[in-house]
Amino acid sequence: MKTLDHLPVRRLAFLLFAVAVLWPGASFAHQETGTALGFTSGFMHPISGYDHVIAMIAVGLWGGQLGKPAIWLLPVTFPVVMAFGGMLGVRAFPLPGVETGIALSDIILGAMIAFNAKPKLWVAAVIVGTFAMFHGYAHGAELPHAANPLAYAAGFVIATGLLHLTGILIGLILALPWGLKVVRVIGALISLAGVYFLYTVY
Amino acid sequence: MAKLKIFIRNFLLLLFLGLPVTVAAHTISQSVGDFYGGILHTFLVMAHVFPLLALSIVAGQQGPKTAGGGLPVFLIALFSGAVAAFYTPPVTAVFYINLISFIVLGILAALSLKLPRWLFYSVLFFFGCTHGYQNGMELHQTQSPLLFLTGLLAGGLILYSIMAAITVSVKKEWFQIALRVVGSWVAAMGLMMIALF
Repeated sequence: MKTLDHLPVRRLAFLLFAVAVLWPGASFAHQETGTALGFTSGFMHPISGYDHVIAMIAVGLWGGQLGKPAIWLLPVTFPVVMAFGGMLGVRAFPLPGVETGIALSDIILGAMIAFNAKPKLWVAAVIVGTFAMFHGYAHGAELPHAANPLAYAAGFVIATGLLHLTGILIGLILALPWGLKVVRVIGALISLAGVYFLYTVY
Repeated sequence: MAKLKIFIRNFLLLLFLGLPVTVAAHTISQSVGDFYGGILHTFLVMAHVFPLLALSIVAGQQGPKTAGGGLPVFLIALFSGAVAAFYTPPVTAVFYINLISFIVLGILAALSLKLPRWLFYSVLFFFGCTHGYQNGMELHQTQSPLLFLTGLLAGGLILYSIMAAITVSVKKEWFQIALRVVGSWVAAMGLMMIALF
C-alpha cells in the first residue's frame, strides 16, 4: 500500500503552525460561553504550579530513560489515571495529603531519574499512576469553578501532555555521550525541588 | 535558491491564510452563513470535535478498507441523527451519551484495537447518530436548516476523511504513538466531564 511517509514533516508542521496562528477569529460557528477562559485557566493550571510542572517533566524524562515501551506507555496511561484522580477531586472525595503527595511525586520521580532506576514496567506504571491521582485530584478540585468545564478539562489535559513531551524531548540528550550524567543531575535537582515543596507544605 | 523558493512559497501561504475575513461588507446570501456554521460546528464545538477526532483515528486504525467503508456509514449516521433531532422533541440523554463517547472512543484510540468490522461499524453508526442528533438540535435556530445540515455533513466528511487517511497512511512509529496519546487525552477529558454530572 502507498504510504505518506515521504511527506516532508517539517513543512507540514509549519503549515499546521501557520493555520493555528492565523486562524481567523470571525469563523466561529457560534460563541461557546466561557470557552476561552475555561481553556486558558485549564491550560495554565499545570504550567503555573511549579510542583506540577517538574513532576510532569519528570514523567516524560523517566520514560525516556526507561526506553521502549515505557516512553510511550507512561504518557498514554498518565492522563487517564490523572483524570480518574480528577473525578475524585470534582466529587470532593476526601483524599488526604494531596499537596504532600504532589511534593513526594517530585522527590521520588526525581530520585528514580537520578539513580537511573529501571524497575519492571508495571512497577514504574504503578509509581507514576499513584502520583497521577494526586495531581489529577488537585486539578479536578478546580473544575467545577471553571467557566466552561469541558474547555478547562481540554486545556489541562493538553498542557499536561505537552509537559510530558517536554520531558521526553529533554531525554533526547541521552543519545549524547555525557547525556546520562546531565539527565541524572536534572533528576537530582527535581528531587531537591520536591524536598523544598514538601517543606513548604508543613 | 531552493531555500528562497520555499521561503517565498511559505510567505505567500502565510499572507493568504492571514487575509482578514472581516473585511467583507456582507455575505452574498445571509443563509450561506448556515452552511459554514454547519461545517464549523464539527470543528470548533469542543463537545464534538474531540470525540469525532478519536472516532476518525479509530477508523484509521482499522485499516484502509474498513475506514473507507465506514465513511458512508458515518455520514448516514450523522444525517439520520440530525434529521431525527429536527423532527422529534429534544432528548437530553443524548448529551450524556456523547460525554461517554469521549471515554469509549478515546480508550479505543489509545489501545489501537483492531475491532471486528461489524462491531466497528456499529460503534461508528451509534456515535455518528448521537453526535448528529446533538448537532441537529441547532437546526431550529438556523435560517436554512438544509444548508446547516449540508455544512454539517461536509464538516464530518472532511474531519473523518483527513484523520482516517492520515492514521492509515503515516506508518512512522512515533506518529502512531502520538495518535494513541491523543486518544488517551480525549478519554481523560471525558472522565473529568462525567464527574461533573
